[in-house]
Amino acid sequence: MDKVVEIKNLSYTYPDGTPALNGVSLDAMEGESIGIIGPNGAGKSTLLLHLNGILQSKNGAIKVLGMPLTNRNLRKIRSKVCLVFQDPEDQLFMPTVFDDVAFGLINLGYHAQAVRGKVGEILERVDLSGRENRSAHHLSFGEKKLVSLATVLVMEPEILLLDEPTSNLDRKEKRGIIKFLQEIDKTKIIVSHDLEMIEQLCQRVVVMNRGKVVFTGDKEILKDDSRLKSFGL
Amino acid sequence: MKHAFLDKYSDLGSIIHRVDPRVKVIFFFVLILVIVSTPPQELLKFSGYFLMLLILLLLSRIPLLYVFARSLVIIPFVLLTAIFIPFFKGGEVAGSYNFLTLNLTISYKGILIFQNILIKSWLSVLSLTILTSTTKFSSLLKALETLKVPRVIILIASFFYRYIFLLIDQIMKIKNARDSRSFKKNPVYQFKIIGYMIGELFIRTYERAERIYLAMVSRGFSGTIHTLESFKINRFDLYFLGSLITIIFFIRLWR
Repeated sequence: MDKVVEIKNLSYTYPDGTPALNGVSLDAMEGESIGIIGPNGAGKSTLLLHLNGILQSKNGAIKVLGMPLTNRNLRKIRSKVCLVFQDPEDQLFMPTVFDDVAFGLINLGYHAQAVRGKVGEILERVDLSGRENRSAHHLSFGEKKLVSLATVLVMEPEILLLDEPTSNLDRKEKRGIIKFLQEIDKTKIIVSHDLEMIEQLCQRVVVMNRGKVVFTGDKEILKDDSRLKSFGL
Repeated sequence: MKHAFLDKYSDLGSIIHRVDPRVKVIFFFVLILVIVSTPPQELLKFSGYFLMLLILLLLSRIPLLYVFARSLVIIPFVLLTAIFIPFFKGGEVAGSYNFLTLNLTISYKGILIFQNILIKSWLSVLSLTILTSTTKFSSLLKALETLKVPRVIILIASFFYRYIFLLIDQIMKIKNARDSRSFKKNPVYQFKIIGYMIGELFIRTYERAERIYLAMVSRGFSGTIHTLESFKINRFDLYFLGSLITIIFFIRLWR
């Protein structure tokens, strides 16, 4: 298996001086699902923002799909590495569901016919056919989460970065999302507090605390409550 | 939280709803120009325009009361700006009043202009109300975009429509949080709180804008938003546009 993400000794401090990452190293293999857990403020989301180059740090090196993450490679990397934000209201900004899902495809330069076909297909997969012309505002929260996923999956990314995919969902909606994510065989890096979901989706778990990776290993750790507590969880 | 939507009846699917949005935009734009250019004393012509709007309204099956209530929203603003006109116009005096030390005179010409502003603004708003209640907001934006309205304006309207309800939600939440632990009824203190609330709202909006931008960049945004055009003009649209424009010009130019 190939390494699709290589992070070496990454450190990052926010412009206001808040330290967020402190010497993080992490590899991800092709097709693997990694769950990143840790207390609030541990730097989990900041790490995700580095993986498609939204945040760029001078300290440390990131390689994605064999390419070093530099401004030259940025466009290419962003078409292969897709990030789903936690709040669907941020992810869905266009007037209709169709426009939102089509947004990335059009930017990638697909033709109108192909865009229509792909959007229809992905909406069918998330069971939201017929909502194309709705405004995101008229959808339920669970539907918004699904459409958010659809907006990036339609771009057929190699690596999927998910920030809290199940937050604020009821049990049924959560099951729907987990089932849907299980069917996707791409590399997934999932940041969450939802240990139940991480256990169902991921083979490998990374625990972060205060900007550092404090544990990497099998998901068995999720059952060891005292160890999780020692990591600040 | 639930809101009444801007384009509440835009899903009805009547004849008027099905007309191509671009055709509707062009028609109502021409109609408003014609209304505004009609001389003030020709009340019969204004009745003609009104009759026409009424027929369109009946065809669209939107509740009459809803549209009329909506269209009246503009009246207070018009009154506020136009109420002084009758007092300032010269010409034949219709009446004069002594109010304390003021001597107020109203002229016939002034009344005519006042009435003119009132009628024209109401008919124009009525037209726009019919347009917006028979067209989905997103289609309306797309129609304006294909009619070469500057992109920036379309984008502002588009983001506005997407996020206005969210903003209202946030205001309601902050207000609820304030009300659940605010006991002082001192108005000065209340003003101070409102100031903080506005500041808080500004920061939240600013941060949301930042996150939205990141979400856009993550999906390959590079400066301009492109959307797919999905309209097809059919024969009925052309008949609709042709016949209605003929009728309004007929009314306008009739002697």
